[in-house]
Amino acid sequence: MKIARIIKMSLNSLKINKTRTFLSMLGVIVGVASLILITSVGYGAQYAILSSIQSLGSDVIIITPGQKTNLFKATMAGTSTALKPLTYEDVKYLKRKLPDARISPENHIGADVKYGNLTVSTTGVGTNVDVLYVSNYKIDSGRGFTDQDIDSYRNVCILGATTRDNLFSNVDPVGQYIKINNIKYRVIGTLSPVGSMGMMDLDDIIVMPITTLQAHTRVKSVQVIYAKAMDDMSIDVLGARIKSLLLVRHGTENFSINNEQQYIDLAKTITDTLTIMLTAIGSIALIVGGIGIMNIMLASVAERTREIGIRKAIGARNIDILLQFLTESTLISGSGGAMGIIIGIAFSSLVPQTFLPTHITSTSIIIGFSVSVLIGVFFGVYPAKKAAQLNPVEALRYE
Amino acid sequence: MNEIVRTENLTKTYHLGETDVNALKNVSLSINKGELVSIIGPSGSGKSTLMHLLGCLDTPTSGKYFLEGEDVSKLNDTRLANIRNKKIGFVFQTFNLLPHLTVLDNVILPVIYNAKSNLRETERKAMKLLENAGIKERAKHLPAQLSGGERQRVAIVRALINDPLIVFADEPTGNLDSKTGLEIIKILKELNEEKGVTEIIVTHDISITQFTHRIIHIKDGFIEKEIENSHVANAEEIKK
Repeated sequence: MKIARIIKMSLNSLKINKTRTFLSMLGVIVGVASLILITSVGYGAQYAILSSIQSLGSDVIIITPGQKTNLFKATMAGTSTALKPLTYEDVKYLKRKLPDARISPENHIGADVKYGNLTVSTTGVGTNVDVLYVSNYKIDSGRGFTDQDIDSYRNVCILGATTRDNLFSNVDPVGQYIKINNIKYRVIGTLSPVGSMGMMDLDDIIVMPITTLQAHTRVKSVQVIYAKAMDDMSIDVLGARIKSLLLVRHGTENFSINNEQQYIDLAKTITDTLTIMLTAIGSIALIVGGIGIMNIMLASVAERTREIGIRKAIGARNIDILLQFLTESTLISGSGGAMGIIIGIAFSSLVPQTFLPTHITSTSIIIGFSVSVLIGVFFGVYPAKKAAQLNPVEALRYE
Repeated sequence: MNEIVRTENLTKTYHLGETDVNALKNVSLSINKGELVSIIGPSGSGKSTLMHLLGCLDTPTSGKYFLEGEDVSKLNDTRLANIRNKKIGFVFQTFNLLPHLTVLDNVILPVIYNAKSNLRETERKAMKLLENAGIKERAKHLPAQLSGGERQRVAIVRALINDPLIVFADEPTGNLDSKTGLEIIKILKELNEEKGVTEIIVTHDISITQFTHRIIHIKDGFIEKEIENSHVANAEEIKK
């Protein structure tokens, strides 16, 4: 029998009992939708990692508190006391010992910034003079920090491009006073836009002296320290020197030193982990869906015994019956998969990007769809074989 | 001789628990092209089993069955299905139309299973056959919208769509009132007279046998007697 005829025949059979067809699809729909949704969150996280790397300058060393930690653990831990061996004193010490290197700490806080009667929420970044060397940020107007700003805990700040646009529409922000978390600051400069990566807007920040931020948040630790060599020193040599200096100072290795490439590798590791996760979630959800399809198909074969008998009597071969039922189960799972993909995409777009960044990849769509088709074939074989092997005489007698 | 069916000691045994039931015992018969034969017997006599074997729906436990000279008693399922598809047409007591297909789709269904077929041509042919059977205007209806007599006509048209070698009719009037039943017999009779279609009618209704050339009486799985009908009533004699 021609394949087009089989598909037409199967579609007709599925149309007869639409509710049942839909119910048997449901398992696959839910399975594929959750697969798409969960992996979109996973890939979103990966993009967030890559985007924070993008804001860094090239050849930058990243020092984070705690052993075997990384930038993201450190940032996520925020100002909590869980990881606190790195302090601003360390930064000053390293700067003293390595005069040719640029060394800049970074602490992040949630910042409600108020100007006039306008309030916006953004990310507050506490850092020092060297931030302009270790990052891709450049001063657009006004000035950067001076050592004096840092050392005397001045209430001054620099606006990221987005924050500037959100607060000041037609006033030059430089010299204006704003409130960050209800504390008054003077705007001394603005940054040029560096763009965004994935869903993350890298210009949605406000920068202030690390000392001032630490004083106001009563936190002694720093979340991360960036270092960059300014002469011919390689990052490996710089990393080794920083390591030995901090080891002497701390007496123990309670910090981690990485570079940009290691973070790119980490992002790749996350992709690999995601692939495994995707396979695991996919398998469980879809096996459940597949069992559902098999149940319905078995019921359908029993119910349609007489139809099978009639088809055989007029010359349908076993393979024709097998293909008809196999096509039905595959159509159920395939269209269930397609619906699941649409629903998964819809739900992932509903997740607020500030809460969890999401990112849909073609890989998860292709895997989601092909696995659901395979599930239909796999779980459809047994019922279809049962149908094909029915004895025509007995099937015709079936009431 | 134009012998198309010949059986030699055809036997069918069913295993029911620990006992063996001999549904058919050493049946030997021969049917020629163009013949109209009735097989008659009480229920449980084995006439349905015989029809299933002759119609290639089942294979015998022992004995031989030659269809057009080819021994088909040992063929596999696929070969048997191909024979049913190309050489045999069935008309059942309960019509056995697929309820969700239109009349036209039911009629062309056997052709669907032949990959080399041309469906457009088949549809034209089906419409012609439906017209001959007087139900052309029912082509787009579902079986449930048809009367019993009309459904049986559809079944007959379906049996004819592949120009079969033999048509088997299993109690074709069993579910019809006597008047409608006679109309169906008339159609079958005319097909035999005008188109030369070989037909085997299985029935327990003795009145039907008067229109057939030969009457085979089956009892307890044996051929009890075979009677050549010397006064075959023709289609014209069937009361309107």
